[in-house]
Amino acid sequence: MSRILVVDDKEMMRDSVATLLGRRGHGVVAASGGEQALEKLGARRPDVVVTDLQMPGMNGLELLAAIQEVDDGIPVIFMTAY
Amino acid sequence: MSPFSIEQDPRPSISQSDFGELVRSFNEITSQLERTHDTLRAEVAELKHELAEANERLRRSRSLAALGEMAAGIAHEIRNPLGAMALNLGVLREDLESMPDSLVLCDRLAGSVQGLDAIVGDVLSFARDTRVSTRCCEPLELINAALEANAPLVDRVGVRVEVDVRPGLSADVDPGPVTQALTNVVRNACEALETVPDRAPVLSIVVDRGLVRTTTDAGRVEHLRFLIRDNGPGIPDELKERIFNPFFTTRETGTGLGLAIVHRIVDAHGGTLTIEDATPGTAICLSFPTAADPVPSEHEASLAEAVRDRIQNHEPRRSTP
Repeated sequence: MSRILVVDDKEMMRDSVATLLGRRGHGVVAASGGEQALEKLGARRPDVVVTDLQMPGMNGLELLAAIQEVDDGIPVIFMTAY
Repeated sequence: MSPFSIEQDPRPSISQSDFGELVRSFNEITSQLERTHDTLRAEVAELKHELAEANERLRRSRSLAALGEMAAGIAHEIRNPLGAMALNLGVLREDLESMPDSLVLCDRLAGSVQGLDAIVGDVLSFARDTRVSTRCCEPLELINAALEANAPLVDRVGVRVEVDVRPGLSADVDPGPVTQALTNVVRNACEALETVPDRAPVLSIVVDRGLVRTTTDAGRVEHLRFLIRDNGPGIPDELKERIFNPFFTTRETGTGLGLAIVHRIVDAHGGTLTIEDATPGTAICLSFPTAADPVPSEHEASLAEAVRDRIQNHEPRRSTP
């Protein structure tokens, strides 16, 4: 199963996505923002990142750019309510 | 004006026939002036009416824009938790697979969440930042797409659809939003027709060109017009003002955003949305500016200037003796 990094500033959404993926047997790491996501990504490389698009501070697109600087082989999936 | 009369005067007299001639001429000029005066009056009344309508449209557009901004904020706040609810319901459903009674409850919840999401979707398409990218479109294609989207409803109500696109017309619009606008208006028409069982339901869509006053500070400009007309029950006079208000609806289902969305889409194109006279039934006119060969405006900016222009260019016919 995969290692998935879930990034969302809204706790309810973050926990919901984490629960759903966790129950599918994936290893989930959650982060509440871009900075924290980069920290966790640095500690251990995830197989995929699922991130919210609109977040205070670093938004999803900025996070994507930062991830690609570190490792442009990690797939990034955006979630948005738009 | 009363006929000219003159007292006897000891000074050099004019002959009876000359005098008669003079009176005739005077009366003729007087009535000529009266006619001119009436024409001008009618002109002023018409201009006043047009300006009042343009002002009203402007006021409506502004208040819709302000409401849109507020609604967008609320809709986003609602959509996020709705997404979380749908996700968790999915998870819960898996746990309850062996409990059919509980699954029914889950489905009910899921249905409610979906309903709410549809409303939020409507609110967002009303509130969305309405920048448009226009391109040259076939009016008939836009109409067909709108009819296609309403096909089940059109069939169910048994509506006869008449489409008349005047030759050589193209629309400079953003096809996506304009198709949505036409779809909403056609749906309204069909739903209105559904309530009138005693006459054969007819929906007529005419596309032509016409001069439209879009703002209060410029003249008339040429627009492409979509006139969508049904022979349904019509809109009661007392509701005509309110039907553009977001969330106003006379139906039991529906968000009341349909026409407000149409209004926003038309506004984004610099067009106009009007209710035209139609008896029986309702006629809604969507107009969009034409990019190609714009016709120079016929009238001057303000009412005062329009009147001045009318006076200066008015050539009274010479009265013939």
